[in-house]
Amino acid sequence: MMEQNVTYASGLAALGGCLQVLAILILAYPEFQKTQHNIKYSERFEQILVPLNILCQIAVGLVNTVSTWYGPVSIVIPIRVSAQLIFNMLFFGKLGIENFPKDVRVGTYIVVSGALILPIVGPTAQQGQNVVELLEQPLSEFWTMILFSLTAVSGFYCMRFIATKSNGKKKLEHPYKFVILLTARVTSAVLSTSISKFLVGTSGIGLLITICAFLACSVVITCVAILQATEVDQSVVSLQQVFILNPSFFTLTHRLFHSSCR
Amino acid sequence: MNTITGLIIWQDWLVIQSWGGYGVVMCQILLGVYLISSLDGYSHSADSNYALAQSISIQLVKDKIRKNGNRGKSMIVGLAGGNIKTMMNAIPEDNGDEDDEEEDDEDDDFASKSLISFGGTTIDALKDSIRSMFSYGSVHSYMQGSEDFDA
Repeated sequence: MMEQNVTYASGLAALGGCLQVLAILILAYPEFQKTQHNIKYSERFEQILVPLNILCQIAVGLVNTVSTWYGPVSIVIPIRVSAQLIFNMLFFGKLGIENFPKDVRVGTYIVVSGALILPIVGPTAQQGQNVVELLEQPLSEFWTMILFSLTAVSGFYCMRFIATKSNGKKKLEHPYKFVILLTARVTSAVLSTSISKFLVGTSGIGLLITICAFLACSVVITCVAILQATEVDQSVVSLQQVFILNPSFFTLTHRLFHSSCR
Repeated sequence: MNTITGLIIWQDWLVIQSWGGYGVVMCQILLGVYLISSLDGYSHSADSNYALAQSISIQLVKDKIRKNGNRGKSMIVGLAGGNIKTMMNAIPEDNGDEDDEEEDDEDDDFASKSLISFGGTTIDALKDSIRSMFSYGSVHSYMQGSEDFDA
């Protein structure tokens, strides 16, 4: 296990949040200029944007994973989320891409101020934690099982939804669609964050299992992201983004769908 | 979910610096998220039309009490029931005396003036707008018994 340092963890989490917003901005700003100000870009320039976005997302993934190695997940995630919210508001608001009403601005400041206080009142760094021992605690096993079960069940439904959509159905009709998507997104994100912390604390078979679990979570996250981009109203998605936050993926998915439609 | 995971799996409960502070910050974050979101838990329970009618009625009662002293009490009773008839006819019942009829005329005039003071509109326009407001939605029932609305 790496030496724990909450300052590093918080800084990296904030950087991850900022980079994620920048990743969206790379695609969103030229699109905004094109549609609103009729500015035309060269084809070559437009072709660079998507790979640039992907590169940014890879950087985001790396920074986010590393940030969990240095501090408690319960501090890292809120700081990452609040960084995304504030940078999203700053960049998109200043550039005029999006208008943020007063309640959204105040809400953002409330979340950010809360996240900033977390390292002062919340958990401190714990050095030398043994991941295997932690997981062997009965309560820990129980909670992990709940998270895995919820991720597996909701992930299964998400894959079924995607299969239904790929069969040509435009709109999914399921009474618990929103609950399933939200559960899949939240549980998989929580699991993947903890699993990414396990990556540095395990070896051998344990590491292999961790990598498999991490990939499984990534599959679920990807499925939900695709479904969210096409199935959930934007106003609802914005709430989910507060919890799970993969907006650049939404944008990318939109972009890919848009490109494939041309 | 992250907090619970942190507490259970990562044993954050051993190193929390301030339980009270941590709880309050969590509440603050949840409230902030609620403020940002499009969810509104009271959107269906609150009736803005009814609230507006109550506001108008309360203003009328205040004016009446200011002018007539204790005579405005009967309207306060009417307000508690939320009766649109009472609201729109914010004049206390008379005792059958001729003198009172004159006073009622004055009261009518006063009530009209009070209504005119809302947004500088005319009494008829205001009545029309309130009538249309009450023609739809859950407040429709409040219109029951208000046949003499235009009286």
